[in-house]
Amino acid sequence: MSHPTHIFSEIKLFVPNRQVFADPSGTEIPRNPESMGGFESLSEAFEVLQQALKESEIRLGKIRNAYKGELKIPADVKLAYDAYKQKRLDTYNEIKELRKRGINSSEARNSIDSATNEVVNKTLNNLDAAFAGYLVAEKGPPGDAMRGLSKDIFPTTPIKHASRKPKKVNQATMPEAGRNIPPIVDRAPPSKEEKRSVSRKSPEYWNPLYRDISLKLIDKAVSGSEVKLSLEEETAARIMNPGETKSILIKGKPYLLERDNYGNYLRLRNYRKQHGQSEMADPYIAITRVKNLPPRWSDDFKKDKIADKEKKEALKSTSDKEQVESNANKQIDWLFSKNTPAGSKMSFWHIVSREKMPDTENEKLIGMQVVMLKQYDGVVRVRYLQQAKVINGGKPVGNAETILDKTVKYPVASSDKCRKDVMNCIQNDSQITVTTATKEDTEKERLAYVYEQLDKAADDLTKASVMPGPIFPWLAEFQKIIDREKIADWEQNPKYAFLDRHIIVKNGKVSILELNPEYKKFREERNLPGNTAGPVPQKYLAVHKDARLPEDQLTPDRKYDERLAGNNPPNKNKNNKPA
Amino acid sequence: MPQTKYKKEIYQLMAQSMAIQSLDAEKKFEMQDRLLSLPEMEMKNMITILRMEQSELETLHKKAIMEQKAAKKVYGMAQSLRDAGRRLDKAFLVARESNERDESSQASNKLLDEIEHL
Repeated sequence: MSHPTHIFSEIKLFVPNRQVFADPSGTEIPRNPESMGGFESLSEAFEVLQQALKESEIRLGKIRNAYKGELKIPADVKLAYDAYKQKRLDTYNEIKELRKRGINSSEARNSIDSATNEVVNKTLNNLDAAFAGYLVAEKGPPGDAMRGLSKDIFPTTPIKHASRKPKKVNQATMPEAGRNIPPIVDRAPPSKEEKRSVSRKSPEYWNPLYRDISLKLIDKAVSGSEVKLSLEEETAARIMNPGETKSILIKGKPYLLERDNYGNYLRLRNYRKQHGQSEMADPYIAITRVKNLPPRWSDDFKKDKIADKEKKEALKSTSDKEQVESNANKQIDWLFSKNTPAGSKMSFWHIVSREKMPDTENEKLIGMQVVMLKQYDGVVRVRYLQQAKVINGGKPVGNAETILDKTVKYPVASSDKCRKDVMNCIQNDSQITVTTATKEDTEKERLAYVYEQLDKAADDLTKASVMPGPIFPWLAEFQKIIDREKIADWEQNPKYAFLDRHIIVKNGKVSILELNPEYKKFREERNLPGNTAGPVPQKYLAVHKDARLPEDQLTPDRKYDERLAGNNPPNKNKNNKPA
Repeated sequence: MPQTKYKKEIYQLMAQSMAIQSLDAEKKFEMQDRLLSLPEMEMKNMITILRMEQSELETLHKKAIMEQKAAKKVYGMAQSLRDAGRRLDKAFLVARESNERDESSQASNKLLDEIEHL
């Protein structure tokens, strides 16, 4: 198979409204009937053939009329006439052969164009649906700043305009607010090698912080107020290389955020989709100074990064307990909410104590971290970790000592128990007592939660537009839980009948393989009526129609394709019938 | 960081995706922005969707190549039929002209005979 890039360079040529199409080598073929040999596409070639066949009919009729009633036809004419008739017959036979291969005049190039359109539209719809799903999942407690802070790296961006020479800041085009800032030239721009090494390593990436910075710059342009970058924003700004630009979309309008070639300023311009210099010709909307900090390839930057981290820690440690408690409460509320999807994870940490050690400059920090994860069965698993570490001038000395490391599972409706434990953990500096829920409490609630989620999954499955990707791994997880635990009330929940099939998620594709042996056995043992090995209902097949498993993973007597075609539905197999 | 790996892949798929490339500049920016700032799990979903598109387009591409070959063949058939038709026309024309010449010579011979008999 060709390399995907190559394939797509060809495929692009089939985008509707394109005026050219290409041969497999990728070269464009002009729409010139002379150089093309007279045809442009299959449908047009069929039109030409159709015309030739019509002409042949007229021609043969003319010859027949000319020699009507005559016994003697000239030998040359006779020969050409017979050859022509034979050629016509051959043509019809060849058309038949093509039809057998699925090629005919009605399904020609147009069908590929429209199919391409369909694929493109489907992908866009799928992306929208997946984004919508993500946005629902993303609705965490408001003000959950710690989530953002947990990102320890900001992926970098390749340098644009690497060959551009450093240019002076144009004072005349600068807005009033930024005009008095003197340009500081204290560092040479990075060499080509440096730039190249950075851009090769890093994929293009837009950090949401750049949008925040841009918003502040717009504010500055409007109100003239000074731009105050937060610690994170400043870090993000520093990670941009001198000369680097970021495209930012704000309220549907594209802007270009750029760090100047000396690395001292951040500037915002209107982004224009034009080629060459005109792209950069817009005057700045606003400009702000980035602290005179080294770019990321220098050793100084690494040192600064460590100092930054310590600064961040110091900032956090000064935040009062109330703030931490309120944040923890919001996280707990959100995780225990029924609408919060399984797999959601929240965490926070808090410095319990900070004291100076006698006779040294060392400090002893005791910090705690709480990580909460919502499992697929609704149970929230919480890990409490308390550690002590010694630091000197912001740098750790020796290894951290673990004081407490405990994991507790809280049932679906036990947010109060969890809250109590978490608050204990925050408030009690030295002693943490964790109350654990009893097993009896949890099981009933857990099952109720599982069934509720299954209801949702069943509803989702019946929607034609639903995508296999986001839904099915989720559903498959539930199925695993049910398989494992052998829930005894299968027959009381007929609407979950589709679970009697294995839903296999492999490489992002979903397939229904065969009956769940546990369920089958369960029904057989109890001699339950009804055919549990029935065909997959059409409405589910519609969802799975694109699913495929490799041949070697299909059981020989139950080929997925055959079942799809309805040739060998599993319920016709006598062995599958319940006793 | 495992997310970086996905980002690289998603970036590659994005560049190859006809769906994304078909968007206008603003939307494309927005889509790129959103895709690249997703967490790991969601990013995997997006990769699945983009891979599906890629695989479907590959199938279409194969079909397109097949049709292109078929188009050449069909056109060849039409050309061949037309060529045979031209040969037939030519033979017919020659025969008719020859016939006319025969008829004309027969008529003149007949006239000469009649003149001799006068």
